[in-house]
Amino acid sequence: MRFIRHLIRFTYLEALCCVFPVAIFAALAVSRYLPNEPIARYDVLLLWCLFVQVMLLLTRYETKEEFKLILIFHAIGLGLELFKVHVGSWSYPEDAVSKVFGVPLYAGFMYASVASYVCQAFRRFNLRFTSFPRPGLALTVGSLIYLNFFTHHWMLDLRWFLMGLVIVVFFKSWVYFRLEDTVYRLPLVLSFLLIAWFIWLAENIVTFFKGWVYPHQQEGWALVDFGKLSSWFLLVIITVLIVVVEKYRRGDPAVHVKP
Amino acid sequence: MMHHVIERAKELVTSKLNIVETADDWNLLLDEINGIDEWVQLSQYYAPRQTTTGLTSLETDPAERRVAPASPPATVIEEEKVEVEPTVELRYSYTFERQLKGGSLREWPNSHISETEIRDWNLEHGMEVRVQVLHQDERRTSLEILAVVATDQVKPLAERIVFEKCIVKNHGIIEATIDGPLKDETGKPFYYTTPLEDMRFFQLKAGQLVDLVMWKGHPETLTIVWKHAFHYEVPIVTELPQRDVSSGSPESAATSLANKQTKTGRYDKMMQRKPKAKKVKKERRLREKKAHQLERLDTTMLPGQPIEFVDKTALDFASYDGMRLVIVGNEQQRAVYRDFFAETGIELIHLGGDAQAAKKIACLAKKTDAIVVVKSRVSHAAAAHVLVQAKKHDIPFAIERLDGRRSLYTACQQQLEKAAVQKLKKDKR
Repeated sequence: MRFIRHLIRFTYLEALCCVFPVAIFAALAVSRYLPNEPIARYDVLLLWCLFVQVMLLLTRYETKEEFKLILIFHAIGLGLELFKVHVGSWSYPEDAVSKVFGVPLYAGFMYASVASYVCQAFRRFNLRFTSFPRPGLALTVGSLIYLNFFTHHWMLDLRWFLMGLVIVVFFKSWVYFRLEDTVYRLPLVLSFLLIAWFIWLAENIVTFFKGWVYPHQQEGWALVDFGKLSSWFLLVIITVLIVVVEKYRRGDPAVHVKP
Repeated sequence: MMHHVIERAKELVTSKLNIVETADDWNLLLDEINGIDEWVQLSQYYAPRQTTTGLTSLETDPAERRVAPASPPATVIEEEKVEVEPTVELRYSYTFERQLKGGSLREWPNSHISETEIRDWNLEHGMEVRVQVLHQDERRTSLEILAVVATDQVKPLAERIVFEKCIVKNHGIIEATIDGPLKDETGKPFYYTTPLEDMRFFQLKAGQLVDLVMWKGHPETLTIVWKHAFHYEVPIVTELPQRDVSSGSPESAATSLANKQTKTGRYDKMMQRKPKAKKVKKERRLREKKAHQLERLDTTMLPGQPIEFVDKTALDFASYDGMRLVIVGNEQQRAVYRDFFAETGIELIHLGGDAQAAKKIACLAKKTDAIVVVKSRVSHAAAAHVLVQAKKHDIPFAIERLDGRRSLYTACQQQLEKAAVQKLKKDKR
């Protein structure tokens, strides 16, 4: 009975953490049915994201420190989007006022929503990390992952090597979370995998409601490619790394680094 | 250096000599002089030695070489010996300073006093202590406490926050002390996850008690500083007997409240993940015969004579004189019963236990006052005949297993008593 109660509590807290991502993905799904005039769809989405962000700050759902952290992911996400659109990985064909070099500004919010989830999870689950690798090593791994998103267009795609590197570096790291009066723990690598898995599931739901459409889904909805799971896995790692290292730098006792 | 030490020792001895007034003071003075002497000896041991300085070259002068041709020229350069100035001022006592883990001496840089030493001596911040070097390396000097000299400068270190006797749960999770949940400065409960290095260093297991320390305002410095030698056990709460709460006494209300609080199972919840203890094998209980307590037997027996039966309560048949009693069964004892009842004045009719003899009850029943059937010495048919007649004529009867005389006589008395009462009631009507 206690396990079921904790499971319900876990689900509830996870739902609370996912308010920002759910708001964005729901907007993506709903906006498809909105008329493109007088305001373009991409502009509506941008306005909606800004509105949601402001509301989250006003209602103190997000703190100012968390907002500053999320801004970093706006920059990271936008940079990645600019590059991907430039090399032709994907495109945003619709016209809009808020497009910069072919990338709508709301794209950065999608990456920021993942960071928002991580920051909220820190607070709501009272997360603690033990045996976390040194910040220098962790950031190096994160940088390599981020660079691979760019370099795999010309060089060998090292994502599987990087995933192996992540497993080796974070093998002894554990994440602890609290539900009511019980503290649970989980290997950090497993938590990366589980978060990526649920993001992939969410992506399937969004594509089902035609939030966006992949080429193989043009004729009809089909399951999102499993290769995307590895992309989300690596993206989640970058997000968590940056959040954890920043918290460690600020002296948060939730992070214990391996000596 | 030694000159300064000796001057200081003389001052100390003189100051202590002035306050001696009684024999006890004198004994104390001798102890203190011994301590000062020890300090002087140690200072002498650690005092730097005066050495020669400068390079010395044994290379001989060319002019002198001609004088002594036998010895070839040799160049030996001796290492320059520089007078080593001690970095630590040797003192009689030093001021102890509490650190996060362990302690140090204010006047001795890179000194370290272990946590074990601090707890053994109950050292507090500001105490004056005498020390001895235990171990010295490049990083620090480990010291051993010899004595606590003065405690007038002691002051509590408010910046060092200690969480005493924290309970370690599985996987090094610490979320409560024996007094309740861990709470930070704002009163918000929190939990601490022990790093793997500390788990290994302290060899922590679930149920052990540790002390956590941190600097105030720096929760990132929270760390384990001490592991207690004993384990935490859930306190056994025995239920108090139910008291009359309606009396309204505050003590009973407080006790019942305390019982209610202990029954919430808070400690049980904290130790939920405690591994189950092995079941102790129950020892087989040997069956023992119940010891029969021998009752005191009142007899008129004289030594060498058989035991005579003595009535505990005397049977009284005097009031039933002239009544008719029928006994059915156990005809072997006919003579015994006849002799007994002959003295009482009761008319006794003894019927056999078989059915043919028992049928005589039909003609006897009208004038019979009581019937006693010896169940173990009578047939079913005979008992049935007697029962029918007894009920028909409303005669008090007893059908009992009456193996002994006493029991039979008692049953007879009881039935005759009933008959007498019945008779009285009939007479009254």
